[in-house]
Amino acid sequence: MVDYLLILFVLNAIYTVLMGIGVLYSRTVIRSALFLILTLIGVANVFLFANSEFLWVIQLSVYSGGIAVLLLFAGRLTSYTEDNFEFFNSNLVMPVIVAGVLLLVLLGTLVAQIPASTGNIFTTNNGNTLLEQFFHNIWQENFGLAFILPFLSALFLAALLGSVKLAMSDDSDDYEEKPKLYPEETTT
Amino acid sequence: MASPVNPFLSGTFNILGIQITIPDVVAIALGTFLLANYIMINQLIMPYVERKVMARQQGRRGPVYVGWRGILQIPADLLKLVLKEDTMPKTADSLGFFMAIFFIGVSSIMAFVPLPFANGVLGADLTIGVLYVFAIFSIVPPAMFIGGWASNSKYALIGGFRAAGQLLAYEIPMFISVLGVIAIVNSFSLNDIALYQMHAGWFLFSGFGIGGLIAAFVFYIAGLAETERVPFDIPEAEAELVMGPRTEFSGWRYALIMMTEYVHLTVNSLLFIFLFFGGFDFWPFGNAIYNFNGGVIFTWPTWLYELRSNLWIQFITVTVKAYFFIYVATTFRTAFPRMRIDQLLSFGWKQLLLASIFGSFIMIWSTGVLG
Repeated sequence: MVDYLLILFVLNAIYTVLMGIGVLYSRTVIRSALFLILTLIGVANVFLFANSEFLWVIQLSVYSGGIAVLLLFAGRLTSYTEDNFEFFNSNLVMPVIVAGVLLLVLLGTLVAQIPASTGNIFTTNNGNTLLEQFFHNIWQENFGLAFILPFLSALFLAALLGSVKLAMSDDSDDYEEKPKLYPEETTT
Repeated sequence: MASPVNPFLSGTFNILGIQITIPDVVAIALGTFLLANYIMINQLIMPYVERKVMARQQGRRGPVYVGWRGILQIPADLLKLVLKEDTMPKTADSLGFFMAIFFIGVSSIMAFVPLPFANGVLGADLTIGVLYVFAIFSIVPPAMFIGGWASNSKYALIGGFRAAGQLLAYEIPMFISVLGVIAIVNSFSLNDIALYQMHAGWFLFSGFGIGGLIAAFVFYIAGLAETERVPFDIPEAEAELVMGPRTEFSGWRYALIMMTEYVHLTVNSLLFIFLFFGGFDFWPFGNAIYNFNGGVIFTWPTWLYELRSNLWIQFITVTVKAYFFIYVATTFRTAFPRMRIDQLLSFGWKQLLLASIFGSFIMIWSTGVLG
């Protein structure tokens, strides 16, 4: 018996990864955003495989719809030139590696909690939900970090304030680098 | 296996003494074929109805030459557009140009899946019915924006900006105005919502006679803005922006975009019918008249209930109601001037949003769900 769901899942995974690569290798910001929308649709489909249609719908409407428009507006309305738009910034290599390793550790601890017999990704052996298990047991017992959520909230708030500060300190008198409105501006 | 036509085809027929059983696969294929054709053929009739009605309201005659009273004008237009040369601006972004059409076309057809045309006659009775339609439609604003940007034309780009801003501003009041209905029925399924209204009366009159009215008004206005119909057709304001984000699309692409506009209008009209106008029920007052404590004051006769339960009558009711709201949208198009973009956005965010919260709250309050 062929497991059609598995085939569909693998196809969806390949599609999502390919679109993710498309985000990185696109030559214009709007194209990147387009690939990002396609990636997010692929990510949303994963919820369908987990039988949670509600999350699928929310992921589609909030991320592929609302957030995508926000990104497109931001990409179109901020000034950048494609010449200094570096895809492989050497300053970013170390942070990216660190972030990647951290993400792997997080995903690893999450996957380790899934009981192998049932394959249900939403409840653990104790019957708790996965996130409860994750935050209350693992981090508290192993690392002594009982306040991981408040800590993360404070971190995000600091990041938000920092980005606002960065955005406000932009020199608004400098109009020499006008944003390019179209993919290729032609003079006739 | 569920099939859209199961209520029509009971599965087994007795023709001249021979038992014929219809396999599920055939029933599903037949049902899908019938529903899809019903939807697509209506998309050819609706523009004709709109053009005729608009012409009459403006003292003209509308299409008259092709076919009887010009009834074949729209198929002829479609044929012409499909046969036209497929052109794309030289400097356009080819991927964005294609993907925008793809998104807009696919999303509009997908939106028909949870809409029942009679009790149980629908593509799929999803548990997330209403939410599904909203999610599918929320893909359209970024697609419009990308289409406008990829065309490499200033009109298209400005139109894309306006379209994305407008669609986003009206999606939220539209969704909040539905919350009351969802909370009362306790289900997202449009079939369940229609059945509830069949039992308890249309939601238009719920909420002490005012809450449902406010929510329905907000939903209809937001729906008109979502479909970019005339008082809200700012993204494609002809006098300013040629055709907005659609300016550079020609031939079959233009035909597809025009079709999706009418599909959107149909889906919005059908959603409005299912959420507030009783769905496939033509009788607005439910099975009985109830007092405030839920006790029955007066029950309507049984023959009326049997008439309302007939699938063919339900099917005809949905079609007639859909055309009625096409007529209303056309009248709006003739009667009202276009709004300005700032008026439109402030109307959406400041007035409609508040009204939708208000309407939904009264609806929920009136049914005692809040305790």
